[in-house]
Amino acid sequence: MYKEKIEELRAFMESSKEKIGSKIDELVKDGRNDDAKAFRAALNIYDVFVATIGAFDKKAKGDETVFITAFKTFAANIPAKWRAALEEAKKHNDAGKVLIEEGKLNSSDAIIAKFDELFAQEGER
Amino acid sequence: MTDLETIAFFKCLADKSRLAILKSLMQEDMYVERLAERLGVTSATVSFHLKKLEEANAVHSYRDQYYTMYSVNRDLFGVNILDILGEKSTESDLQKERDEAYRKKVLEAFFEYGKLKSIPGQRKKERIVLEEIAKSIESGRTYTEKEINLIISEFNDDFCTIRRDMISEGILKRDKALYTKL
Repeated sequence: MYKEKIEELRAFMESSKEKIGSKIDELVKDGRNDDAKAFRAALNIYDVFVATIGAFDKKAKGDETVFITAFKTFAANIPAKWRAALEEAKKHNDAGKVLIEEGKLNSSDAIIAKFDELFAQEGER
Repeated sequence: MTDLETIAFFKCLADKSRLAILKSLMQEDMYVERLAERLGVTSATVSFHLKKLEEANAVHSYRDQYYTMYSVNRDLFGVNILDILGEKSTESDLQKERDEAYRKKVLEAFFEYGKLKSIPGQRKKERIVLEEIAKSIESGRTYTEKEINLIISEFNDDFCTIRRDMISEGILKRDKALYTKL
């Protein structure tokens, strides 16, 4: 069951990556290169999470609790830094950085929501 | 318009989203959220493009009650392209533009929101960074070391290194524990 959930999370990330990749191609073809930059930042986040989840899975050695703890710690710390960077960028009216940080957070929020959906304890559902 | 300004302006226009924003602004002045709604993109995307357009002097902004409104710089768009192409640039003008562009690039790389992220390793870049910090030091005024440290620490915690480097670069002069800008 644990492995199935991880596979579903991976499949979700792969399908999201494909959708974002297509969106980037579409924007570039349409002459909207700068808009594509935010989506590229979002795409990189999927790569970060794919690699991290792989490492956590390896470390957990089949123990779902170990995997959940590792993921939740990561999911609490890393996006918090991006959120802080977004607030700082907003404070300084740095429109370029706001766009990039929002793109990154959209990806991480989507992955974390999917994780919560898959790994929610019975009582949490 | 200088050559670099011309390039920046045309580069700025070479984007469909920015062109769409300009076309909307040709109809009426608008604020960010209204443009976002009209073009079907996020406010962050519109703000990003407007900032680029503002940097290229293609749009202006002004306050109207609670809103920051944007309008097309009609004076700039009224310039004849043939006139721009006919402008002559001397080699010294071009060199000045190149130096200014390099300086801007260095400052953007090493400063973030007014803070110096790190001291550049390359002397040429460090000089630019030190000159930027020195803008906060008044010419003709004498400062104590504590005062100089306070000014520099607004930019970076390593005020000792920066202060010493400013002296070795001939930006600051130290005389009996007092400092003046050269």
